[in-house]
Amino acid sequence: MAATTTAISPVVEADADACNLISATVVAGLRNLGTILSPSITKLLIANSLKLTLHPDATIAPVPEIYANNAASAKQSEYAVVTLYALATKHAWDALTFRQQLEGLALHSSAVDELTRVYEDNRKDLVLRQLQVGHNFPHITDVQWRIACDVKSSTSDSSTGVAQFCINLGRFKQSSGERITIVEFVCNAEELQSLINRLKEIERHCNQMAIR
Amino acid sequence: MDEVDKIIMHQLHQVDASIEPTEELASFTPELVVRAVSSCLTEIRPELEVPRSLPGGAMAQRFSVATALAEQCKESGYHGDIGYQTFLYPNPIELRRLLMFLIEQLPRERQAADDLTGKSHSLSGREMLQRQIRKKLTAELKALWVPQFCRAVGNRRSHGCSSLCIDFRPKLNLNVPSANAEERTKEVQQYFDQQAPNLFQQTASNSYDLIATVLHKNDLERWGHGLIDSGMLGLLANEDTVIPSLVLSTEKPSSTATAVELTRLEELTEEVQQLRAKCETLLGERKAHVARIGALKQRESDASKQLADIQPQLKLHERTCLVLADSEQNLTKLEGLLQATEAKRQTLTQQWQDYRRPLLETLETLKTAKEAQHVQSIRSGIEQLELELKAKTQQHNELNAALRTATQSLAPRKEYTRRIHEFIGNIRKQRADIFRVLDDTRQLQKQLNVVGAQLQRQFNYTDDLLFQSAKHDLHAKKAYKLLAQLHANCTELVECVALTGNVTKQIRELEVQIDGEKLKNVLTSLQQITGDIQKFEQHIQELQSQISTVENGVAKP
Repeated sequence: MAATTTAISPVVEADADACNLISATVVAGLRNLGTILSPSITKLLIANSLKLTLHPDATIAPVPEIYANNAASAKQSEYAVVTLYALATKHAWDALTFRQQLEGLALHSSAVDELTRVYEDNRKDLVLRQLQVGHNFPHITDVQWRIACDVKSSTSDSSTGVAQFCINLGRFKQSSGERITIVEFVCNAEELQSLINRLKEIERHCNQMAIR
Repeated sequence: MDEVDKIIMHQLHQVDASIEPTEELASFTPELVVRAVSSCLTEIRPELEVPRSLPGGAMAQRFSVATALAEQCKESGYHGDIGYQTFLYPNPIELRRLLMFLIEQLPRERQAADDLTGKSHSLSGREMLQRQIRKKLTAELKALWVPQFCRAVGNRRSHGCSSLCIDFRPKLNLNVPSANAEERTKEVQQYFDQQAPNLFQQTASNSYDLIATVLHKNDLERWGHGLIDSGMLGLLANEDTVIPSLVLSTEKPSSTATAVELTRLEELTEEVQQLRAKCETLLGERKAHVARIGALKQRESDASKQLADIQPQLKLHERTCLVLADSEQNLTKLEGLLQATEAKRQTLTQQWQDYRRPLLETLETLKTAKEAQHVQSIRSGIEQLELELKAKTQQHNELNAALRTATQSLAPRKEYTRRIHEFIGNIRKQRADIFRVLDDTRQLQKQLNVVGAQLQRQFNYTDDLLFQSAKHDLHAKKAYKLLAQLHANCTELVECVALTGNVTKQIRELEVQIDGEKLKNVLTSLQQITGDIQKFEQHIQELQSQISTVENGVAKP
């Protein structure tokens, strides 16, 4: 008896997990696969969803045949597939657990096979993709600056001759190489010197920590 | 050296408790050396794998272990002479140098901690973390620069966190067909079929992330109802992006409900304002109370000060009151006391006098004795001084007489100085003459050299010429022979002249020597010596005659 209970209990737990983790919409979307949507469309949809998940910034040609019939179901299924993969990666399911979870949801067998196969093949990429998602302080990898001097203002025609530094700290996007401004500020030479001294202090402290 | 050894022992014992401190490094066995050095190395660089002990049997293994350790030491920056022999055949001087180097390289914070506790101990979690941070920083400082684009997720462990992460920014109002297809109206279904953008189109903007969006949506669908029920909708609704699907799923938010909400809100704001006002008044009161407390504290301290002043007075008063309560009895008591003390005083003075008298007497006697001694010493001093005075006056007279005689002999002194000057003048003149003569001699020498060289050259040339012509001509041959003879004779002559010069020089030297000997009065000393010898001979003869008389005297009886 004990053996049977131990054999069954993980499945029950998995079922409970799946019920807890996956929302009704996702389950509905997954059930569309292989039933409302034909197997070929299912395959295409899963591949397309995965591609778009893995390469969010890349320009990927749209696949209109997915939405030819039952567009609403297809859209729902797309959402379901993406969510399923995201959850599976988030909870670090292996292929077996993944299959068990899907089987607990009473899906079409071909859909289960296809989903599991794709998951197994692309698990590493999915993990890498999700590792990048998160909250972080912005890193600064680039600095731009210019020296500005007012020549004429609304109150005075003559220049005060005060030079100011307009400094722009930013970084480049990994995918597109586009520059993102993180902070932009104006300061005079004295303030700039103070900032530089502070940065040097950081460096010194870092060195001290490393050496001690 | 002993001190250094002690320090080394102490440090080694702290690094590895199994190393027992011995008296000196010379008594270290090879096993102990290996143990000590490997412990130090692991402490310096924990990532290093060094052999911990020296294998017992095989020489080859021992050799390899020692070589490995020597190499590790070299890698750690040891510049001294090191090899397997340092470990297998330890020499105290080299070993001392090596161990001192290793101990200097030990991490500081470990040393500091050891100094504090005085014992080695396992590092706490915090220290481990600090150490890890330090190690990481050191590694990053030493690492090569890697362009930002090459710092992907894959090598983030080696190059630190990538700056290029994707922010977790979900699209809050993702529009996806809900689970129950039957509930959808025809229009909604048509919208989803034809116009609604798919998931990817909705999240195509840079400001949203697909995975974040779907995770958010999924969790919202799982827990969203609960949130709405517990009144969190207000919070969600405050955000600038409203979630239509959520609003739809809350089901008929009727106007009455909003009215109720509004009134509730008003009530709450009113309450808040009331509370605020109350709070302000309470704060004011608190301030007043604090001020009052300050004033009261001041008063309290004043009062306590006064109390401290008054208390001794009070005590005094209490005592006087007690005394005054039963005046007559107390008076008699006091009189009794007074009398007793008087008697006591008298006895004490008596005692004092008893002690004092003999002491005073001794003092007197001592004083008189001392004075007498003093007077006598002064007298003797006077006598001595008189004697000295006499001696001095005598000396003075003598010196006066001497002075008189000395003044008479002043004239010859002048004469002497004059003569000395003359001598000096003569000597100078003679010296000048000598220099002149020397100059002349040198000049002559030079001329001689020149002439000699010229002659030599002349002779050589003539010799050459005659020799050349002698090969052909008979007369020339004869002439050549004559020339050779002439040359030989001339050299002989020159030698003779040189010899004569030398001889005259020697003669002069001898003359000088003779003069010197003459000056030494050899004759007189010789006469003295001969006289002495004669005296000795005479003495010897006398002694011999005495001896013979004695012998005769002995022989006769």
